[in-house]
Amino acid sequence: MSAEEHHNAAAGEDEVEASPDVHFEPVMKLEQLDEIKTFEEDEDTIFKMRAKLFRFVKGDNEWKERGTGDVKLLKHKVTGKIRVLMRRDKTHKICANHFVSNEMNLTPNVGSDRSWVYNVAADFSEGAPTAELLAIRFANTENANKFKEAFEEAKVVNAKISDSPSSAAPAEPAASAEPAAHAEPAAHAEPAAASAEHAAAHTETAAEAATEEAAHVPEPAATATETAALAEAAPAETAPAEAEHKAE
Amino acid sequence: MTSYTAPSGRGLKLHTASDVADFVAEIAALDDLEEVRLGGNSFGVEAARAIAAALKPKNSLKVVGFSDMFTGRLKDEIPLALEAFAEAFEDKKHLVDLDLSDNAFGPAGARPLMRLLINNRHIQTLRLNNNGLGIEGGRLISEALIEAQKKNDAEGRASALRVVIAGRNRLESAGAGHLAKAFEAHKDSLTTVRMPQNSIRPEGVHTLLSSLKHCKNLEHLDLQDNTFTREGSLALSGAIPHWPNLRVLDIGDCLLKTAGAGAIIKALTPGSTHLEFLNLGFNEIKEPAAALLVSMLINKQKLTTLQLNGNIFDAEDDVVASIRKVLATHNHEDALDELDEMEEVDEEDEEDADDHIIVEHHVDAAHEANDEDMDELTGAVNKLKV
Amino acid sequence: MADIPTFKLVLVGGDPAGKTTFVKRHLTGEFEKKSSPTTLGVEVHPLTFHTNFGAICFNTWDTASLTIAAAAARAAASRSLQGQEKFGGLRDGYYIQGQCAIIMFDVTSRITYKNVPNWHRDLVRVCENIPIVLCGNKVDIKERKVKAKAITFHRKKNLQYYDISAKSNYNFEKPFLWLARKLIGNPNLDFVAAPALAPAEVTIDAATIAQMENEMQEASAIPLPAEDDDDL
Repeated sequence: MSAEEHHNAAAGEDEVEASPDVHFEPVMKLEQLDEIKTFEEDEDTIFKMRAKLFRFVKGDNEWKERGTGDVKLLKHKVTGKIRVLMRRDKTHKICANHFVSNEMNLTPNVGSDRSWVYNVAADFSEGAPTAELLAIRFANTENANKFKEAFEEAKVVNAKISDSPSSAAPAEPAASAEPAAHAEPAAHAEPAAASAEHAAAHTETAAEAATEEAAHVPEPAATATETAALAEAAPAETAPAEAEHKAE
Repeated sequence: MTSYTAPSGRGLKLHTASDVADFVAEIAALDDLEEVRLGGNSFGVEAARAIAAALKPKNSLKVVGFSDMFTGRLKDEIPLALEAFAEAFEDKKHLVDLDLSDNAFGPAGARPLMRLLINNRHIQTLRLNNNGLGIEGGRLISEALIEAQKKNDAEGRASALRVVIAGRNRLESAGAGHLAKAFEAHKDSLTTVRMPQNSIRPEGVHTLLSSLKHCKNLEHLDLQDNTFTREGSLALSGAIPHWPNLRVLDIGDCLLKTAGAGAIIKALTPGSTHLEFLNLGFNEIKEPAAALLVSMLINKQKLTTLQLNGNIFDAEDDVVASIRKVLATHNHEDALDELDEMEEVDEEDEEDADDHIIVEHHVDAAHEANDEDMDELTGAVNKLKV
Repeated sequence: MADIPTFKLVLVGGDPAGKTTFVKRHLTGEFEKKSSPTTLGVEVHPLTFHTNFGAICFNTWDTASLTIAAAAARAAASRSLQGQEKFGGLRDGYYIQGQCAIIMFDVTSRITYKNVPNWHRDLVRVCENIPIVLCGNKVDIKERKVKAKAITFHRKKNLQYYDISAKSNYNFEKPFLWLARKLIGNPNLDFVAAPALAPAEVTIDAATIAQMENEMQEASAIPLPAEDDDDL
């Protein structure tokens, strides 16, 4: 925190005098959670890169920013299905959450060699599904192409899964998880929700959270190549098998 | 003057025609009504329409004071209410003063006003302070004023528009650019332009002044709390010689800095003898620019207000004493404000070119950052003081 | 969602300080470059954050500063007329039961900083002793008028201060983080990853796909906001 406080590029001059530390009577007491469930525990990160996401707002006929942060491709350990997940920096709110599917065509945006436009029939960032027209911009062409490559691979993987009859069943639970989306935050506030079966996943989550932190904390000057390196490193850490798959 | 003022200060919420039945009856009873003020109450669409209908036959109307009358109203209510008023006022040949300030109607409210501004070309004073117009609102108002002047031209009529007040409107550089065109269209009649606190940045100030330069009768310019820096300041100093009647120049909080302020003060020095009010407060002005004021003030016998507070020189500086001395020779020793918020000269502060006077055009940039040259310059300035 | 701890946050400040832009940045991620029109009336936005103490929600009351200022002026007038405290209805409703507040000004407009004491006085008259953050917005703009050393009001009135930028996201989460820590009385509170539930399978028909495809072609001809991507 203090590291960032000093990195005051914008203000560029003397610090504002520190605020006094004053005690306020808390309005309510909350218990610290024993675990933070990200619901990525059963997935492996097969791709990760910094990006800026936009959504098209038809009423205004313009692109509006949706968030800046790491875009990830997550592969489910059991079903093998791959989704796009992106959280905003600092608040870690979700700005993209949808499966990669065959009808999604990454199309260049006019005048940009580092952005892709694509359609999502059902994005679950806000819990309830919404159709979104998204655009994702990367630091440079190289990164944009890496994303496209990984995205296209994911399309093939997901298409195979939906084609094979045996996988129809594993896909179901995901679908049935939808109604839970609304009830979830309440469950989240309940420490009791912590279950032993996720224990393994937690350590992984912690490790990943650490990588995420590492990605956020360094000066924004972190170059694209560094972030790209992170993208390569992440899979190796969470899922060696997948990293190999990607290397193929 | 027959005048009607609705009871204000009670914050009445008036929705329907029957809510305003008393107002309507009172207005109807006033023959030759010349002034109407409804501010301080909140009018819904139906209430506004009833009032508009009552005002429609009042052909003697001169002054419409409709500030702060839509508190708590919705986006889609206000334009409808304004439309009713625009319709009622567009043919009023004696209407000279229209005040719609402190109504947060935004661009949506600017649209219904266009009709009024195009059709009623008698209005001399247009008060649109604090309307949240934004860039788009600025564009619409400008479009209407330009259209009005085209009609004037076609009829061989002179513009009546003298005063435009559009402070605190989020105009930004683009909105200021739009309005600049309208000002240029009404260049022969405009005497007062007030656009403080509009987030106008140097390039917007430049565009605005390139147009205002043509307003030869300009007496009052208020651009307080926008951002000039060197670009805007040079544009202003280029325009000043075109305004022989300038009385009020309010450019406080404009980040003129020493270079910008110096250029402006120099531009004010040879003429501008009608100047009564000059606000240069809170502009990061250092002593070398303040020193230029001494010679500038010599022919400013009418100057009764000079604001310099919040700049970067010592209130006890010799320059300040010299300034007071000149003011005293005009019997205006009280003109200078209290210098109680002066910033301290911080030796550690990084200096840039804008912290120095711009020495005429032939001097190369390298000189400006040089302390020895500064001493030389100060010497020259001191000679000027005689 | 109904169950999560919710706090009423009152957002006030000079116009334009960037209050609505700031709220929208948190709500949808967008940064509205075009100066949006002055807020009309009151808008209440629930802003949810996921923390290591569970999800919490700030019901953020964003109002037209003009509206509230006008109401305050009337209230002041009526006080002086009647010699007693009597608030305007709207203003009352706006502040009442506020549990925390953000007072925002624009560091490129000294007038908005000068108005901070007025907003503060109005606020604490109704909401006594609540945690308040003072934010100087637009620190991304090169020509800053309210210098860091000139910002002292927070020290006099025990407010927390942050330089922020809704544009660059500099410190943009800090006001909420600090308020959250004060409201639950625990300095260890931090924002954590929001739960990312698995998306559901959705099948779409060919007609819809074709329509979406068309829209995409049109949208891809519209350029993205051209901002510098220092943060990429």
